[in-house]
Amino acid sequence: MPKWGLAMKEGSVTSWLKNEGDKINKGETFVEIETEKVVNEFESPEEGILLKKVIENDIKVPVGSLIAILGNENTDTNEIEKFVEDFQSNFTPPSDDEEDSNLEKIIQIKDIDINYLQLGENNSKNIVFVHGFGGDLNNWMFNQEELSSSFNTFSIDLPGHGKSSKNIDQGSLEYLSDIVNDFCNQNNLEKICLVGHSLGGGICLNIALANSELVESLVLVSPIGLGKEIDNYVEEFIKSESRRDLKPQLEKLYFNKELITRDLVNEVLKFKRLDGVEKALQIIKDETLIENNNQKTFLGNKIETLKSKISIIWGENDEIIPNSHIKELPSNVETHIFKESGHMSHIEKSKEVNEIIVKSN
Amino acid sequence: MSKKTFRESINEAIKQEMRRDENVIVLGEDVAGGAGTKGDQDAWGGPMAVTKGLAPEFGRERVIDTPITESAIIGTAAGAALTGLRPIADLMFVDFMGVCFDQIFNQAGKFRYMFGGKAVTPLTIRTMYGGGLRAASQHSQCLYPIFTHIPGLKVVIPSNPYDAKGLFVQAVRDDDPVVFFEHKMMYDDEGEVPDELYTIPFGEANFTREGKDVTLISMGRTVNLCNQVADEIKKDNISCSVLDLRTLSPLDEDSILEAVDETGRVVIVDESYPRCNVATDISALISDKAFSSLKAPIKMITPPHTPVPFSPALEDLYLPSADNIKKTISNILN
Repeated sequence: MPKWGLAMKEGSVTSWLKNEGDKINKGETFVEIETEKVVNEFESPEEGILLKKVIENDIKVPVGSLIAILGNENTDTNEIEKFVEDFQSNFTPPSDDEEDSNLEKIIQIKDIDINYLQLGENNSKNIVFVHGFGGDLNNWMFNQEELSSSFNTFSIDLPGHGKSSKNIDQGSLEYLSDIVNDFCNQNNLEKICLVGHSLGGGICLNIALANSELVESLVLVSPIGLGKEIDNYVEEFIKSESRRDLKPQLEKLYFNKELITRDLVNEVLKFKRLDGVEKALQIIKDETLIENNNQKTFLGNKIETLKSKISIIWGENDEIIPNSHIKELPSNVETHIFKESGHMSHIEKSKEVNEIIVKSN
Repeated sequence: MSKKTFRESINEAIKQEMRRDENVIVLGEDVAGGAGTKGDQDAWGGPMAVTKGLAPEFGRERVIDTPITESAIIGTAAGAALTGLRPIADLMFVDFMGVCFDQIFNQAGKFRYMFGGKAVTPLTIRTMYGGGLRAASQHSQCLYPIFTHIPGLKVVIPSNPYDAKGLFVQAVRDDDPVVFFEHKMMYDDEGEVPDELYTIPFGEANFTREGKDVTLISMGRTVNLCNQVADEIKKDNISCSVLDLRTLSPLDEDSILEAVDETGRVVIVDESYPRCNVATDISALISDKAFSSLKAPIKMITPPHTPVPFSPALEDLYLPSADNIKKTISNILN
């Protein structure tokens, strides 16, 4: 059972994409796994024949549990049974001492607490991830851990989000950009790759425009700031107090609507129901995101002057910000449009997005 | 976020609300203990130590040990609520409520209505319910159906520490009288609870398990029994959803009908006496509004219509059990 994101302690198989006896290539998806936060397909870490499905569907097991056996075609059945037996008798689930979540740290920036997560160190390059409106650093669960083997990666919770301070009194693009900029300075990061999604994409672009020394490359996923149109998602997200109201809003984020389980909606509601969150979201909406039902921030006309390398990614089925915003960009931008992907390409097309991030470095 | 017990999560909710709003006060028998004596102060913190630590921090003016007279506690609290405070009254055992029914039903519960909407009554009544402590028939009842019956009262019954804190904060901030039910066997239950303040709105039931074959509907402590059953019968290839009502008044009818629609088979588990209880109420609702979705008769699992026995062996037989629920599920599936 893979571990997707720090909070994940257990997961269950929702469906198998391959049958016993099928050949699986390295990197090929073969099973669909559900965690408290998300449902996603799991890519095989190795090549081989799927010899045995070890766990049944919909049974929650701890991270690190045996879910399936891959191996050579002619492996003896007894050998498989013995392997399973040995594994199960030696397996101890990871202890519950919250060791993992201690990896997240709080840093003081402009008198507020900013929560962040660093994975990977002593690499030559740094990546900083900035999530979108209403999200948090867990949005990068399929990207950060994967890339941390060859990069120093940092993801932050924006003001008003995740575990960062909720009691903010400003939410302008400049303010949010300053926070991320100061974060990089306080951690002595230089020549970074900034990866931003939606609101975070606008923030990253704004920082790069002002500080090309700091930002070597930019990867933006469905960013704000490239056109006028935007769905009423932002207003509706703030307004939705119940599971029933919020679910259809969250469904707009993904191409695959089945990703939005009741559990996932509940996780978002847990965040939204914290004291101060609604006000913080409202401030960011008013000062950065929305004016007269259109986007308030426009940076598209400045991209041509950008010195950093820039790639922009869009899901063809993005219902929040239309993919037409990627179509009239100057030639210094490398663009990618993914089929069968909505507003959250870094989750729905994580493998492809990770490849683009690696290449842009 | 950290692990907290049910007891700690309510204690934290009260403390944080008292810090946030000076109009919040606590009163009841032994909520601190030792008032007016030379003996230990705050020795009790309530019979289950839920209000421990409040008196030293907030003082005796806001944490009031009362005489043993429930009618005076609720009468005082209702009047204080009407005149601007946000009292949290501790009524220990719900079994004792009989002596203050007038203050609750006819006074606190009716002020808003009788004063033409010009008065609000932000009163929270904490109380303990349920069997399992071998406390016999006068200290083990549920009685939440009685309060659910009265318009003007809100009835909250959390099943886990996370919900307990969020629902309690909502109760304190709510402008109507709320009766908050805590099962006496749940105080040591643990769960992840944010350190920050948050609220859970009333009238939103919560699916604690997702399934396709049967829906278990429950409230308070028996939700955990339902979760246990749902987890256990997965190995028999039975997939069970569990709906935790969280509040009985207001009642989340939409989620109940949604749940019935998804599986067509319903088992309602309710620890209260079987006549005119929550199970019968929900059963009637489903028969009335979702009859055509049903694939099997609605089943109710409740104790028999008798007082709660003192004998441990009999009390165990009396309360809804996992075995009971499993048998019922297998009956309606066949």
